[in-house]
Amino acid sequence: MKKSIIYAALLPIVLSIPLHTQAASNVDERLQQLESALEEKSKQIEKLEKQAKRSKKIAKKTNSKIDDYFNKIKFNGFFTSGFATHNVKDKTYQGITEEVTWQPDTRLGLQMTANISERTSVTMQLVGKARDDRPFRTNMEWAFVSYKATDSLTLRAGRLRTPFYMLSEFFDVGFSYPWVRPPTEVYNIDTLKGFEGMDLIWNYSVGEWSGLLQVDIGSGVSETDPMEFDLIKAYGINNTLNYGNWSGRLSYRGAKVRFYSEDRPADDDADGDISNSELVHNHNPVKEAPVGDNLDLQPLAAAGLVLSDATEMPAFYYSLGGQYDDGSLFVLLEAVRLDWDFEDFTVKLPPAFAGLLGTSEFVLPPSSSYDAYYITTGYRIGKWTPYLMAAEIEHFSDASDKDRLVFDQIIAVASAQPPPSKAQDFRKSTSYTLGLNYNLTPNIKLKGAVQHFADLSGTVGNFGEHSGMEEKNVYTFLVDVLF
Amino acid sequence: MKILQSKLVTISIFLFTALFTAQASLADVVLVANPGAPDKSLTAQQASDIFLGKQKNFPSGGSVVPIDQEKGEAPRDEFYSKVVKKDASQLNAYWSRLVFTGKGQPPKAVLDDDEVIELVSSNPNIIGYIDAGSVTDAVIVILKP
Repeated sequence: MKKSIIYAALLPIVLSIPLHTQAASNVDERLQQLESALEEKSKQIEKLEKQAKRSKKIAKKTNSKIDDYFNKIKFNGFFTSGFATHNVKDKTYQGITEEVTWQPDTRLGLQMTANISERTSVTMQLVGKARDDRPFRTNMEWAFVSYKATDSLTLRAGRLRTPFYMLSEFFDVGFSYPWVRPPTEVYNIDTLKGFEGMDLIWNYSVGEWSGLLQVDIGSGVSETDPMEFDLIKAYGINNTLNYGNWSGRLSYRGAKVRFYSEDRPADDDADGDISNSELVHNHNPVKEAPVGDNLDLQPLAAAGLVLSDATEMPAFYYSLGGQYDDGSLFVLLEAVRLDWDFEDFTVKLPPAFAGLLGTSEFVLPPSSSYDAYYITTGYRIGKWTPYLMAAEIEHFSDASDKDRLVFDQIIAVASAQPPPSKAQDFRKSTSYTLGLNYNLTPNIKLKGAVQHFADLSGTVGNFGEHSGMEEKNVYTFLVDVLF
Repeated sequence: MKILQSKLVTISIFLFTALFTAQASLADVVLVANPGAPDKSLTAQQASDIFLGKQKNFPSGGSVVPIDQEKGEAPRDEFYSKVVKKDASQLNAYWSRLVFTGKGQPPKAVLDDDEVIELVSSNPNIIGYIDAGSVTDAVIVILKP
């Protein structure tokens, strides 16, 4: 019995010997199992990888098909909307009034480019907007065929925006500049005209310098613009030079100005255009005279002066611009001059005026010539961009005081005001803007700005006639979208 | 015990260093070109000008075609912030001035590093940025920002 107990006690030890060997073989087996499982898994992974590659290839194929389509036709667009108000009673500035208004800054642009061949494309851009007190309407702002003669030389023909100054061509694309609207001292209505003609764009480089030279020729007829003059026989040249964070631009333009006169056929007004007869009869110089705008000849038409003699007066536009942008700090500045050469242009006064003003003719004063500049600087802090801007416009004239007085008297009479006894000062206006932008997404910017007009010497300016008015502020909040 | 401890410390330091170096190199973007490209290296300035459409040719001549990666790809964001020094919003503002005046279009965009390598290795005029870890023998690195 005792023996059996001892055996029993020994049994596990005895058993443990084969058990031990069994354990060892178990480990081997397990290892083998694991190995084969691993193999299977890696095979599965390989399979999955292959599948992934295949679906990627399919995606690529689909993508390239979509690409092919989009390489043929490209759509781009921009949109701006927001509200603005200012603190001056009964005055209008860029369509903005004392009441909060959304209309002046709201606009939508749609562009389509169709690539016809490797080197040829057709582009059109439609922009819907309201301008001053005109209703919202859509204009074909660009319509041109483009031919790439070489990688760096492009020839375009059709309807283009005139590159008067540094920002003229993309004035409507709010997303492209920091402000709520480009400085109105420089970018006023007459320097935003389009033209029909052609241009040549040459991209060149010398070492680390790169440049863009643009030469254009054509005429801008006013039918599609709310303006009463044409720019014909226009030609221009501008050159942009880039070096690292620096960029500079110089431009010159010559043109002949041709005013609407009463013998110009009035259009049928079917598309909402203001016709010539409307201009003559309904013109309100106070309401429709934003800064630097050359509309001060409208009273002449209103006074019954036929301006057909005034056709083809030479006008010259000069601009010198510069830009620095290191990604955080940016500075943008530009100085421009518009010189309308009215020399030798004598206007004969109708008998009624002649009796009233004591002269039968006078030399039209080139009061529309001006010097203007702006400088702006800002700093990007993450999604925020605060900035400051100062801008000024000053008109000048070579006309005699007497001719200027007669001109002012005609304006006064045409506006049913008592004629002044002394020629008024030239228009001058200075403004300062403080703004803050926020990048909501890479395609959406929110912008807020306060523009303060400090110096309003002169008779007519940003707010029309403002003699006796206090300093004023314009408040704007808007959103810019790119798509 | 002490010896073991010091060994462990050494090993872990080594591992961590290796790991972090590997991660750092993973996040590095490089500009690659075809081995037959006219230039074997570019400055950040030259690369920036090419991707912004200001320079149309290699510094030593011959047209250059930059290739972008799709928006949201890590190498794209890194390339533009390191080399071009513009974020997505600034880039949009920059291109909007050219697109809406008919003066230029941003580079064509492809899916990923593999596709950039595929294009670059097949054409000596094409350059593109990829993750440093994706570089193969089919391309040469012309800029390490």
